[in-house]
Amino acid sequence: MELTPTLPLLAILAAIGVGTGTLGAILGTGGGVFLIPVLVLGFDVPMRFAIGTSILSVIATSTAVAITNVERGTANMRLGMTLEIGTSLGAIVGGLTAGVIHGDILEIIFGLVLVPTALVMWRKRAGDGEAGEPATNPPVAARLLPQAEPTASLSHLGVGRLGATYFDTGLGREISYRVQRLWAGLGISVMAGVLSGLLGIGGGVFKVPAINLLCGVPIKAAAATSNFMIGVTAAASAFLYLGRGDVQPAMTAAVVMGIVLGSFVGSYLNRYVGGLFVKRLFAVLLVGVAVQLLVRAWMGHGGGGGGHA
Amino acid sequence: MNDAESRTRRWVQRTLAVGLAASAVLLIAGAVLVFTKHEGAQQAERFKLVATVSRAARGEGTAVMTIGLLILMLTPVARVIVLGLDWLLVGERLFAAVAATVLTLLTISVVLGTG
Repeated sequence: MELTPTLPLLAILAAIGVGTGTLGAILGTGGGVFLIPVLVLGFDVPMRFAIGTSILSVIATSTAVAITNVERGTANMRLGMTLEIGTSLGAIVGGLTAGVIHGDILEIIFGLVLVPTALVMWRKRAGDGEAGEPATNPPVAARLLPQAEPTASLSHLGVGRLGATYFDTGLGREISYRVQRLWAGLGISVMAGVLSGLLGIGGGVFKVPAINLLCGVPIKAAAATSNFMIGVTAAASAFLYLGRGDVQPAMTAAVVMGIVLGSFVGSYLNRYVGGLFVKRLFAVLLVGVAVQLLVRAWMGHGGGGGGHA
Repeated sequence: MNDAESRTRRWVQRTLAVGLAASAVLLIAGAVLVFTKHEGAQQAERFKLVATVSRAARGEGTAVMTIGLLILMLTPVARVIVLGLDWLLVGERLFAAVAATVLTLLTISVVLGTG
């Protein structure tokens, strides 16, 4: 892929980053699900370059958000590091797989993953947070299924080696929890890692409900811990994309800077424009994008977005 | 949150913040160099560390951006190292071993990708 880095072009790419980062933060999906379709469908960027750009953007936004979450104490670093064994392994498998399958196939898989993402967005309530957001609000992915409720202080019982305690500002008290079914959490982490490495997305939509429901971690801590893990997961496949030459430096730099800015703007705007109607409108839009990607790939027009195969 | 836990979190925070800031500075510097030197069309190519550093040292904007992106990618890796060392120092050997396992996987990725 050849690119002449002119000021107008980089400004447009940065604006795309700001726009998709803002949308991602408002709608609670992370920027990747919007960034990749915009680059592929709007600018005819080959799929593998769009994924390479997205995976770097995921690292940047996750890092920025993690700085806040770590300070608040909601991210469970011991659990996060343990599950990162699964996500990193999966991301390497996903990243290697993306290098050998055709771009059309990647577009089909991406289109299919957009559908559950849109469903999560549809079910989201106004004011809900997200997997990639500072955990001030509960994320919404778990609303598809019943949530594991925060347990009143268990400190007298101990939280085990993986459990933790944090202060919930919304409830006004300390929440302690033990981690259950770690192996199940690790299994889901491997799958989320594969999707992240394959498609350049954070995978929080799948991880947060799993950590909450399977491992019994309260939803705020699950969201913060998921975000804490995303940077390492994305890095595990990003080196593969960089090494293959699937990262276009100027395009990626412009989008990364834009998307980090956009995620902050979106977090601010979320209080004012994150209503149910807007979320459902974009959920429908996302399904439309998924259909467009699937049709395009089916017709073989994703050739420009081919993998290395 | 006890003192050791607070200290760990501070170190993780600092690591992430420094990595993000260093990356941003290089991305912006690279963009400035690209425009001031009027760098032409760029073909995406396989990453080679020595060649990229050498081009960056000559003031090539695209190479400087690539180093910035590399630092961004290494920031989570640095976070794993910091946490692993901290757990080792406070005697949490199990989690230090977990961090070492994650670091090994990341190293495999680095070698597969850029080796």
